[in-house]
Amino acid sequence: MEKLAFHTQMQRRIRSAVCCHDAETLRALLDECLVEKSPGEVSGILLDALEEQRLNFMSSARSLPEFILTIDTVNAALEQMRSLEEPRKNSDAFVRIVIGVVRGDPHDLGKNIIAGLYRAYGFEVIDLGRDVHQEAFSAALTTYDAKVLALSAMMSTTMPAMKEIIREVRITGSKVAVVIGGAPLDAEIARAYGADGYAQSARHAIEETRSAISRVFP
Amino acid sequence: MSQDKGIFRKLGKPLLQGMIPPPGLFPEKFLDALSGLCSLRGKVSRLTNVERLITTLRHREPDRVPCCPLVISGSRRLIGASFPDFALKPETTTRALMAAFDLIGGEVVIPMLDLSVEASDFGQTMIYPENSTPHPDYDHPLITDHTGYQKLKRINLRDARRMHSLVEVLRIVTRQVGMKGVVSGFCFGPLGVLCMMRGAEHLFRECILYPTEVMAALETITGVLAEFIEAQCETGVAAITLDTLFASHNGLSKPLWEQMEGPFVRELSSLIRSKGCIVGVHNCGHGSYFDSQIRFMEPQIMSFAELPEGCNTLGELKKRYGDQVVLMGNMNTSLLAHAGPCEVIQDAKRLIEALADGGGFVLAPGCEYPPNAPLENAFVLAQAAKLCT
Repeated sequence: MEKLAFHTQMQRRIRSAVCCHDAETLRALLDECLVEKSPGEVSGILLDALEEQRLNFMSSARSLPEFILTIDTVNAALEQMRSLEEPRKNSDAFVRIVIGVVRGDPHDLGKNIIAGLYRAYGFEVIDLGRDVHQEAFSAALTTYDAKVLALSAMMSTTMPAMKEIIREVRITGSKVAVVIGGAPLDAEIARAYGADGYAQSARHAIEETRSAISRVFP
Repeated sequence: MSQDKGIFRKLGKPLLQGMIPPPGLFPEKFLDALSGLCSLRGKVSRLTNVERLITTLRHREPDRVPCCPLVISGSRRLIGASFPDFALKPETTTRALMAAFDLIGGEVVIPMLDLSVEASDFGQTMIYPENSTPHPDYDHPLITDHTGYQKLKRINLRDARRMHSLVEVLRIVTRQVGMKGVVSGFCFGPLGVLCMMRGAEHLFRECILYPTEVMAALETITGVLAEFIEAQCETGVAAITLDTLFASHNGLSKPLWEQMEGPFVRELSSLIRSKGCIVGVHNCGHGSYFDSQIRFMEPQIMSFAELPEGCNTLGELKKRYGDQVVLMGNMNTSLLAHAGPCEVIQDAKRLIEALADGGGFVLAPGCEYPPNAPLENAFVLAQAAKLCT
């Protein structure tokens, strides 16, 4: 009974610290929590708190700047947890994602938010940055044996590069789920470009990536 | 009496030059009577472009919906110019924009260069790609941390090369368009300008973590934008469009936007009105805060790419805001870039059916016509305004 009360109270306090992006309080709470619980369990509580904020962001109850700060806070805390956890590289759930903004495009806000979200949700992220050439994407997919390629473009003038990258990836025969997103795109263009998923915004990236993975790796 | 003389002079001078006087200088009753007459005449004969717009702006039904194809940097292809030439050579910009106006048509022209004009004059390093829109060099932002906001220096408009270029473009385009259409100036909102010098991600964090510092920079920028707007108004434009991109779900929360940018754009829109010009607001974000924007800026025209916050359908939008502002947009730019003429006409029809009833609607893309997309659909868009009404 006492344990349950501790758990509930701790969940509430962690949720509140994540909501207020109060990294210092969160760190202290996690230390306190780790006395009673395993790092895996504590990470679970943290991810529940993030999920709550993500749902609030999806319903526009939380703004983008608030959500960016939440991701920063959770990722800093997860770093703390990961140093205590067993490496998960042999786990079935382990997925490596190569992400980047296509060549000629300097806008990386969306990509950075999604990379942060991927990390928080337990994916390993290889972030190639912005203005990335096709060859760099292909090389990264091979080097890191990634399951997902996430491409971003924010300009109508740069988005055709996505089509070329996807074509190249398909020609090489790499088995990879390609998810694309960015302001000038829509689901129809994503399909026409040969992508496996289209993330309309950071709000939809996690679900869309998960379903693209399940389609490509059933 | 002397005040009346002043107004007659302000109205008479542009008319004698074959240009539209600042619409705000006309008495409301005169505009109501004129638009009423135009609406009646529109039922039996074709109106001129300006008559059609006056009728639309007074929320009366014209002969057909007016159109603004928003072909901006895409117009460079009509004269074989590159992106850098369009952005940096006022004579090339003017030639391209006028070619688009003459060939494609439409009633509203919004000459602009790109969204980095103001930031580059503040000293932001720029990149001018050959095949894409100019943008800041985000590897070298002018403001590198939160302490940089308060160090941002006010600049003199005389030394602002790119802002000066746009004013020059407006001066020429306004004269060349004359009474054939309405020309609007353009100004990126202070938060947008700041974003170009700091990067969106950092700016978003710092709006919450260091609001005082960010607001100091916004105040500096607003001072310069006020001068920029005054210079644009003096060219004879009938309207100025303000772009408050971050007043949407893609930007700040509504309370934070009202706190950070609201007061500054209120100042800028008051200035526009004091010059007799129409205030337009452009929105390309999702879930724009129309209610806040209307409260702070009192615009006459709202251009939009996506439905604003609180509206799930075009019908809801028309019902909620249709009598407060003239709606402009929201043709899908992806469709313009990729679809065929039939789909463009269908989309135009959908918009006209939902928004044109009772006037107060301008058919336009939700955002700039995609600069590298084939221009055929711009012609189709202009024709659709004629065919679908």
